[in-house]
Amino acid sequence: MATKRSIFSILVFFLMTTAVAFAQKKITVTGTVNEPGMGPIPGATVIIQGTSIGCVTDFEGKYSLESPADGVLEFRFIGMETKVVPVGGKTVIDVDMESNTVAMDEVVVVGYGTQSRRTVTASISTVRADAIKDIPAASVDQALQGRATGISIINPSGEVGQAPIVRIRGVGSITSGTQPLYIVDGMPIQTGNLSYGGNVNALADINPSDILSMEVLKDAAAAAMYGSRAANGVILITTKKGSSEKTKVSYDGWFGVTTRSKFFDVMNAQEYVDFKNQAVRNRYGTDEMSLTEGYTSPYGNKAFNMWQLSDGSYVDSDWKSAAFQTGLQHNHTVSVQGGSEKTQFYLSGNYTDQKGMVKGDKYNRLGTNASVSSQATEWLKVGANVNASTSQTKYTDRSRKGGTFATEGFTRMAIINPPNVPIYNEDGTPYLGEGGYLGMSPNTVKNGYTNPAALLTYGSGVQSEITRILTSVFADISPIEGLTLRTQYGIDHSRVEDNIFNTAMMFGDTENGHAANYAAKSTQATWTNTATYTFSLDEHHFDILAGIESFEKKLDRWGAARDILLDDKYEVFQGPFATISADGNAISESSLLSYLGRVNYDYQARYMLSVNFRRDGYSALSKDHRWGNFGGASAAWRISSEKFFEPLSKVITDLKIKGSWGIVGNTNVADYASKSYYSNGYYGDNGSYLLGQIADSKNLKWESSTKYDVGFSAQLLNNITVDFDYYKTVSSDLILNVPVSPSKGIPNNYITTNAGKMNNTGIELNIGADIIKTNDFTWNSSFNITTTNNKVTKLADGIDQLVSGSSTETTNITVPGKSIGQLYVYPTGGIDRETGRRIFYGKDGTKVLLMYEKDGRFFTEDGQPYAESDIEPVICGNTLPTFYGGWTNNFRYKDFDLSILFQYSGGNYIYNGTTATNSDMRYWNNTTDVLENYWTPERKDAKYAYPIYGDNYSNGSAKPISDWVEKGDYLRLKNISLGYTFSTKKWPKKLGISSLRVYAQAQNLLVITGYSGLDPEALTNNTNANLRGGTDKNTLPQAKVYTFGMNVTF
Amino acid sequence: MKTTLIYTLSLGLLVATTGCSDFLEKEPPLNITEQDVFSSPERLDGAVLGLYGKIKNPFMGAKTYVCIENIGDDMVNVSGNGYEALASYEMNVGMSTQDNVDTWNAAYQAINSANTFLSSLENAKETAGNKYDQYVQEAKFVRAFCYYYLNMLYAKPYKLDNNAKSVPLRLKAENDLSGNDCPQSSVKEIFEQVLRDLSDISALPATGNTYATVTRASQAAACMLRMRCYMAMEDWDKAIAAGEAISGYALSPDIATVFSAPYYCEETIFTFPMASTNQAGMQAAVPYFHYSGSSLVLDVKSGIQGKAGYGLESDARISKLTGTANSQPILKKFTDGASYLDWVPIFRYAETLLNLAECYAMTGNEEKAKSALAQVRHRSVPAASDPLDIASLSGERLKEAIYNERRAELIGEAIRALDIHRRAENFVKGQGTPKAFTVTPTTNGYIWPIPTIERAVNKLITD
Repeated sequence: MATKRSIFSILVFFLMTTAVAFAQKKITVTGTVNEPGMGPIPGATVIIQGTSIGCVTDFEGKYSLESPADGVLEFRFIGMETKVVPVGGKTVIDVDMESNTVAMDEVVVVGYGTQSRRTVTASISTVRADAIKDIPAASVDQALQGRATGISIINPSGEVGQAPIVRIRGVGSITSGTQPLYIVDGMPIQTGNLSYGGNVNALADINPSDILSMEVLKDAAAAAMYGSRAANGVILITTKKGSSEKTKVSYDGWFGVTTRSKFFDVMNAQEYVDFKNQAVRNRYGTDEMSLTEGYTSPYGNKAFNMWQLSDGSYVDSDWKSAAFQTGLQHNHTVSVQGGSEKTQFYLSGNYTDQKGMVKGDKYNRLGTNASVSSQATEWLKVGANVNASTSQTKYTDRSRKGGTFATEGFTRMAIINPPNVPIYNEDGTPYLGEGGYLGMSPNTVKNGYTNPAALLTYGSGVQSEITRILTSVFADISPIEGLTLRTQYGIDHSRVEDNIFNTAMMFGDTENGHAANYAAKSTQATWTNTATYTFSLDEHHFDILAGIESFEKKLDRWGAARDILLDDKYEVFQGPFATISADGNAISESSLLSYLGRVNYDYQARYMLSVNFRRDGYSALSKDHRWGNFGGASAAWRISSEKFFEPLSKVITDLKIKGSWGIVGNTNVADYASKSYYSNGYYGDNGSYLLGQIADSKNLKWESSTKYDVGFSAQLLNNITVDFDYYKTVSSDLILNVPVSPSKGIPNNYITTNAGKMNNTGIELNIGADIIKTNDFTWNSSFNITTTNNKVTKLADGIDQLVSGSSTETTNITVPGKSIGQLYVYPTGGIDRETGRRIFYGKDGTKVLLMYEKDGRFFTEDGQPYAESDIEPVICGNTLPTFYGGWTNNFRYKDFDLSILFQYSGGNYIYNGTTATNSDMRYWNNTTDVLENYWTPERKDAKYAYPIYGDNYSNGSAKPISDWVEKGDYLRLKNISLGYTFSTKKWPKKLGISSLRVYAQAQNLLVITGYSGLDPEALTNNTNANLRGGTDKNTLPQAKVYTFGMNVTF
Repeated sequence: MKTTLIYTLSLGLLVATTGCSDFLEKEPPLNITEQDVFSSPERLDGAVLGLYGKIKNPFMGAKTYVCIENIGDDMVNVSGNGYEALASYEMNVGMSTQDNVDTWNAAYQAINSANTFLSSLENAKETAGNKYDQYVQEAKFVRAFCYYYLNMLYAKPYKLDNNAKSVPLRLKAENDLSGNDCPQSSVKEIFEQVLRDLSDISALPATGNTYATVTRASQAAACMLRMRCYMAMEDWDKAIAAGEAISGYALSPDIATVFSAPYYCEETIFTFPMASTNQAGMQAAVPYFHYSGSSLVLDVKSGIQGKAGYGLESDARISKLTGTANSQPILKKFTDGASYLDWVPIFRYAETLLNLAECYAMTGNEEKAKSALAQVRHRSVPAASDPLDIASLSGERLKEAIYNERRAELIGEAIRALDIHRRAENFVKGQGTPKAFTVTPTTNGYIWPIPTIERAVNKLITD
């Protein structure tokens, strides 16, 4: 111990004497730092290169410091390009700094380190905090939409706090997850839905205001550092850190409102009663009848009747008003950023509270983030980050977790609930018919749906409370120049409590009240040890990394369900329920051990080469195949640095061509996917053991993806950047739950093994330009487009198709030769002009008419019965968008700034199942579109069939039909924000305000699309969205959100 | 020098992080390996119980039981809900209908569990000890049980065509991706296999009214299953032999005893026990369908209780086991709508007697037939006030009385549909139902089609 200390003392003494030796021939340098057209820059850092000596410019942008006469000054400011000026004996140095929208020299975060963009050989997209600062998103993934090439974000509906579907360069796996890996400050975090009973986006626990930048690692050269987890791409999130500048206190806040962007016009009470009675007449010849034998309606003698109130008026309910609202949202972040040369810190506190456009939809979060780092000694730097938050998500609408068919789905109820049934009784309580359903009401058939107002009033809903801590500590040791040894230990810990409650007031027959509580602890611990050595031999630069990482994940969940509530006064799990049973119990663990290495080399930033390698061992795979080798190589050539390029260099100021190849893997398999086991149960009073899982325990191994990428980055005329990539990913050994004949009796009817193959190819293009740049007015624009062509090339031996859908209907199929999750619905040919009946096609091509009221239902044109089983679904289009992107425009005029983001996507097809809901001929209400477009002898060009009461076939409810398949192309005005920055530089210093900006923002204002549903982005099956994507069945549209916000810095 | 330092430090890190070699060994903490199960006598017995668990839920102690009742013609499905066996009731079960898919899966999961058990048991004879033979016979009983019901649901009646295609016969433990293709065997072959599995029952307990004997296979239970097969094959003599081999059981004086706690009595031969840890849930639970009057209700018009002499108020089966809920007539054999803890009887002595009655009548032994019929009927209908004069019956009238008594006695117990099927009669949903219709043995819907999920992988399935 003593010797160690003395060695360090000697080392420190040595370093100090060196510093003293350098500190000779000092002169005082002064000057002003300006941004052309903008005036002086206060708070810019001026530093003597190679030392830690420096200062910060004052309010007038002035600085003064002692520098060696032959020193080199480096000027830095966030958002500006760093400027390097040799002192050369001068005592006055004024500097103009340029903003770095055209950012060739920025630093990009890469796996386990950082790199200058100039020398990056990989395909990486960066999104800076600045670009998303006005977006009122609860989580950062939503804000990425349209911002970067290669990344597709789909918000499955407008529900608050729901996790989007994120895909990087297509779909890389069939049944394993396709979520990218998220790394926050070097630590992998939990993603997806954190809650068991509810639906909560795991990324929502990170306050978007705390984020400095996000990098999307797309090709193998970038992602292979994450080896087995990189097949779906990697998103690196870097949070804000302290600085050695003057302490800054900032407040960012906004408040706003959210409403639904669009909804259907449905029939009013009179239209409903008349139309349904007509359908009854069409079927039975009269409407003066009861649809339920033995029941006589007290409201009238027809099948459907009006409901007269005590004041003589008639009930005419607008069920939209019971389901939707204008939700109020607000968000506040206070942060303190500062420090000294030695120690820097960043602290923030955040509160957000959002009410959704659906009644009962609530989200709030209280979070803090702290980051501190300290240069303890010349050779040791230590630091820690802590992000702690608690959040609460609450909703009543059961359609949220993909259950859009749920009887209690709000969107569906808003469409189909009969307008002649009241929402509230005359005494103001919510209306409920017999058994907690809408029941007969004034009609003569029992309505099995319910009243959203009653669900809300009587406390039905799902609430998830999450306490989350993301924390990491690190130490950097630099024993010799160029060498850094880093150890980082990080934990992502969440504690989730779900409370589910169904009131006893409703569905009394079947439920009598139900409550379930689940408590889950989930912990991921990552310990990373790396050594980085950077050195140069003449102009050959080397950056070498070697490391070891261990990762361990554990889930521990317990819960219980209770039924039969004694008294509907109670709305909690702890209430007087008659029964309780264990529910949702789970314990699951996995571990990953990795060895990694990388060599980056460049010569004069002209020739660049990077090779990386990673070896991973994963506990979930079979013992003999759990270790896998991953890695990649990439090279780039800055052709613009070559002599022969000089004639072009006026136009093309920078041109780099690059290529990469690599192999990455996917670990998104169940923790015990390779284990065969028995499970425990009870038979009567005695314990029993049952065949639980049969696994491919000998062979289950990594999914691997080989990624190829070629492209270039260019800068034209100093103000236009062009980035282009062509990519190809060949995925093989895809882990598939390979179906076995159910008669084999294998649990779950599948065995998880490596079987499938898939390709993704496409291009990415990003063009950015400073179109106008004058003192008063600037306009920069950035356009990006990504194409993806996904093709499944193999499923498993003997398996030529995977059919999927929701629990109630089949809508998708995956077959070799086509992209994953094709629409697979029954072929129809519109409405027959002469008969008004829906035309179906049999598998032999026979034209078949659907006559719901006749036994057998399906008939050929000459009236012969046609077997329903001979009408088979057909492939009706791909569900993955084949192109998508965004177009950002930023304008600044004097103190005003305007930012507009368009986002687009297309090339895919959607099954518009909501139309089936809208036109169902049972007792459901229909849209006015049905009223205007159903077949009559006078209106032969009809969209909807001749109305026959009870007909749920003509419109696609019973079987999804190809008439409802539509193109999914759209262009959305995603965000528009207008800000005003006050000229705080002119304000009295006493106020202490260094910047103040106010803005107004609108999200999802406008969609241009040919899609006739509510929203072309809507996705009903948001779990497993790849295999069963592209269906819109009663899905909520995106929310319109208007916000007003303020950013102020002291 | 520098390189040496890097190497040294890297090596140090390497050693530091890879200290524990079992870092990647993770076993599912809530499950157990086959080896652990088959090396302990207690767990091995639990594995046998697991086989019964597989045929109970989700099979004949749950949804399938109700589906079969729905196919019959004594009750009406008023749920309007596809999740409540409506397709079974309306007899339009398709290749993807839940009733069909769930039943198919449940039966074959149980079959493979039995096959796997039989195979694993061969390596655990020592653990099994003197229970080895009993365990083998129990596993075979479970397998036979599944094939019997599959044969009754998926194949044309043996009576019409004993060569008709039935279901694939799987008799080996399945644990890999091979052998997906397996052709259907004939109705006859399936029954032969069931009888083969029931050929040696010597190690099963002969009889008994204990919890253990009524919830597991006994010789009596095996004989009941044999009897049902032989009756479907119209081999009346063998059916009689099987029935007469059943002894040690008696009718409970009050039929209601059969359906009230503790849910077994001197009459019970085989039944599925329920407890709060393993009862079927909601739309799979038998009581769920019966208790509320909003799912499965009595057809008091065209069902058995609408027939003269079968809806008597003096009949204990009417007075004690029917009632009203939600203004609908309901069966009160399964009443626990709160916890679904009613046990689900499969074989009881009343059926033994009625089976015998039918077989005797078929073979001309009318006195024995009438005696067996009278025992069952007069337990519930006082002989003195019974409008049906059993003594005077003979020929077709006797057979009809036996058929009717089966319906009256066993309503709700998933028997009626099997009777119609084995006799190759029409299914007639009559007047008391929302939609009257008739399904004949040649109409679609008489039997269930093998589901799509099987056809998609097993390429040898043909219609």
